[in-house]
Amino acid sequence: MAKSISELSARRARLQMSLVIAGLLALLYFSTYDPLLLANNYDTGWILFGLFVLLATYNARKKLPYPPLFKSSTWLQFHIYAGSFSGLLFLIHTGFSFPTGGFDNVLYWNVFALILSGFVGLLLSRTLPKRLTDIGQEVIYERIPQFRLQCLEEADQLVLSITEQYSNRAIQDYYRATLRRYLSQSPNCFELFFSSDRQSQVIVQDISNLFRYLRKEEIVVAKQLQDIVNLRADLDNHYCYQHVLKAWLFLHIPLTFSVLVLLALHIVLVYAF
Amino acid sequence: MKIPIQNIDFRKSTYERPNQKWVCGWVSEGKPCPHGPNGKGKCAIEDHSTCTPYKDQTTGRFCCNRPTVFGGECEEGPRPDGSCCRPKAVYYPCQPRLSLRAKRYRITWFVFILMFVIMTVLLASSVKWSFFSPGPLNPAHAALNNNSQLNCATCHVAGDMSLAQWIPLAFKQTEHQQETRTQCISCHFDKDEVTALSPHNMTSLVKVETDETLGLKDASNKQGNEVQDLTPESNAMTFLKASDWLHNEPWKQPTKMDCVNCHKEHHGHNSAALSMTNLQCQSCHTERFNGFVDGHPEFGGKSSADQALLFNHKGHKKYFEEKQLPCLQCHASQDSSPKMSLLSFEQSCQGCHHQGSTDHHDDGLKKDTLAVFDLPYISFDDEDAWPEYAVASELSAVMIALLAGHEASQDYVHTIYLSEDDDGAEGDLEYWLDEQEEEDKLAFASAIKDIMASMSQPKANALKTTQTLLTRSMGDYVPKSVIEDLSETLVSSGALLSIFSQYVGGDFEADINYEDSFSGWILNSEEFSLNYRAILHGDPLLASLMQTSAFLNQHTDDIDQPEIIAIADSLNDTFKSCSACHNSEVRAPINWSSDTISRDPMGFGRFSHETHVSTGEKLAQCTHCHIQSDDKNHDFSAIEKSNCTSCHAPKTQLDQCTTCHQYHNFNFSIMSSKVGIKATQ
Repeated sequence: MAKSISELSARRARLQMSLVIAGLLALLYFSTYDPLLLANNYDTGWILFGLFVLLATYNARKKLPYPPLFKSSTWLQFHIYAGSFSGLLFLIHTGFSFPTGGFDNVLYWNVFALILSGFVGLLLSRTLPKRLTDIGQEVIYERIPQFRLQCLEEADQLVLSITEQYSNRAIQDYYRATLRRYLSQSPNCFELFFSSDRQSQVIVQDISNLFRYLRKEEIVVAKQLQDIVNLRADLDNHYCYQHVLKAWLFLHIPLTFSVLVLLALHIVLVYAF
Repeated sequence: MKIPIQNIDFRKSTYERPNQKWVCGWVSEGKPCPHGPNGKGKCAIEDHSTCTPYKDQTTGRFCCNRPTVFGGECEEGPRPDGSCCRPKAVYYPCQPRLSLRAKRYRITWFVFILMFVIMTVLLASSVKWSFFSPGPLNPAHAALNNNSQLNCATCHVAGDMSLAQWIPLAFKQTEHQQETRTQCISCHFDKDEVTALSPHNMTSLVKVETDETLGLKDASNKQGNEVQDLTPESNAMTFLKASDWLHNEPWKQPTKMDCVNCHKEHHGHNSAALSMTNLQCQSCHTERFNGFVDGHPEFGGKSSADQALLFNHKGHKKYFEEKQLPCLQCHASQDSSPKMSLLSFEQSCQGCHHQGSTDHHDDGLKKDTLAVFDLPYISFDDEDAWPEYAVASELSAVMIALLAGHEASQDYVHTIYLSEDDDGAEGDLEYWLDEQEEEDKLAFASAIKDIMASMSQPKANALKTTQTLLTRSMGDYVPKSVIEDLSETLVSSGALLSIFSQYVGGDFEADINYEDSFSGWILNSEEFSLNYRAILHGDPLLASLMQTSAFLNQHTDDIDQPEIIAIADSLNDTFKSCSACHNSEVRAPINWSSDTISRDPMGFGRFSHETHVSTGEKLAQCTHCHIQSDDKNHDFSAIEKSNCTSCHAPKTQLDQCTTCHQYHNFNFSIMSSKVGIKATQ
């Protein structure tokens, strides 16, 4: 396993180095047009258009099991590095300057948002899986609501079980006032993503603070409630990270098709005028 | 202690189908039914039993098919009719929801169609041109818009077309780019397209002639193709060579410089339409160097013969020193002109060379008059046939020109200047007249009378006759405009010419000497001539005659008519003293003012005295750069590059080629005036 990770790192380093070299070569090559008063816009434009079309076909490739045109992971690698290269090519094509026309601005910022969303997606797909692994358990995204409900139901059962046996209402009061609301609410992804699961830790601490008022049997239940809170925190983290991993595509893919429409019109405008 | 969240065992875990379009509406509540909606997004809970029994073909009995996750095969088994024995699962029907993937799919299509619709609407709307314009025009071209409304059709063929017409047009890019190029040329050039699109607006023919000076690379010119590095090769030079190699030396292709190669439009109100780098300039030139300081050739010296006004600075030096006259006594910088102008004669020279009883032409013109119309001495048997006081032994230049243009006398004039007398002298009028028969002399005299009579007609007729005669005689060598000016000044003598004409015709016997001090014409009845005395410096008649002389001098080698050579010789002799300053022998037309001469004949230089003088006390001293030379052919030494390098230092804005050189060898604003565009360069 350790060997495969090192191979992966070596491959990534090789590809990143290749990308840097290809970028430098492209920058150097296309800057040789300028001293000779040649325009590189046509060459860079067509390459860029070809790359965009090729990158867009990755989405189609995922839907087509046949013919077997390389592995999806190979396509993904190509998508990442060709996409990064197209970002540089885009800057060369625009002359490292902002456009001044209305349509050009729409196209420019669409492409910019597309490339930026790609990089954001790359960043997310490189960082969030590590966070998911740190949680320690695997959960299918679609099942998380079911598990959330199970947590709530289990907590309800535990609290009911001690209500029938003991007259001390410390746990019940806390459960009714705070814990049940926490277990039944939807997770706040923004808070979880950018800060931490602080809310669950506070609740766990609150339950610990109740121990002094509880009997031994009740403490056992309280600890089980703490486990449920921790479990719910894990579920929330899973939900948020997986949701973000899926949600960035809501920006990236529509932008791709928007850019393709604008590119077609851009080509017509360039050649007609 | 961590509670395990999910049982991964496939026998205990339901199968999720995230790729399907619809999911159960109870998913968000955490209670999805195990069957899920059907493919059409309808809840299918009522259709489902716990299992769908299958028939075993070998035994012919129905078998339970309940999935393991729902408890596996039940003990009761199916009913005999093959239906499930267990009651239908109790699930509330739901409103199925789109899966995440399906939502993304829909949003993608929505955005795609929305963008398509937005673009279509914009293309059909009134904001079409402003929205699809790549940016505001350069201020110089702002006038192309009609009342601030974009008028794309001024330059682009597609400017008044629709999208449907743009698409086929896009496949004919070469054709409509040609049209756009023609639009540029129609406004900015008064030259043909080949010249306009040639490098530096020079056709290959001209380029070969100037190749040594410009050092342009050109595939058609074998001599100019050797690239010479004037400085050790720098990184920039290496880069340029690499560019040449990578793009297969594009200057070898048929050289057409499109306007858009350099002039980038639609980059906003504050953008410069042109920005040339040093490398771009050097890419076409055979002499390459790193910068103005590092490698730029020294400036050459200017010969005195190249000057518009021949002025001997060395000879005048002692007077300048005596009277402490600064350079700016005669020279001045102008805001609108890059050149240092010379003040007028009255402002600069007249202070010393005042035109009183004497003048600056060695007193010659002021004291002596110029015989314009004079009558030769001709002896006739009949004394009344020719004025007895006509005493001239030779004809004036004007008279030769007029007679050479008259049908009746042109052959006589030709033979006069073709013949030689006994001493071998050519053009001896007296000798020729002595040799002529009475009949020929009469014809010659009547031609003179006819010319004089014609010129004494009302001004319009006189002007027409004079122009006709002068054009016939000198029209092959002297431009029409000069002949028109000369004719105008000749007939300006008016009444005196009329009186003179009557003398010639014998109708006037009175002995009158009259000098019109206002017009300068002098009627001298004693010598029987109509003379002229210049009134002021810059006299129009003398100027016209000098221009005529200059053009004739340009054709000295071509002229085979002795009478025209006689005119040129006569004028040269007359204006010998004028030519001391106004060089009529080197070029025509004569540049009366130094402003009109270009010190840079090909027009690529750009220099502003005003800007330089205002930069500091050091440069305000003219002698800082202009140092008098000991060379007899040069008043001043060549300006040294070291004078410039302190400001035009490497890696500064002033180190650009375009600081001192311009690409086009003509004045942009002149061309622009054709269409009323106020161009800025």
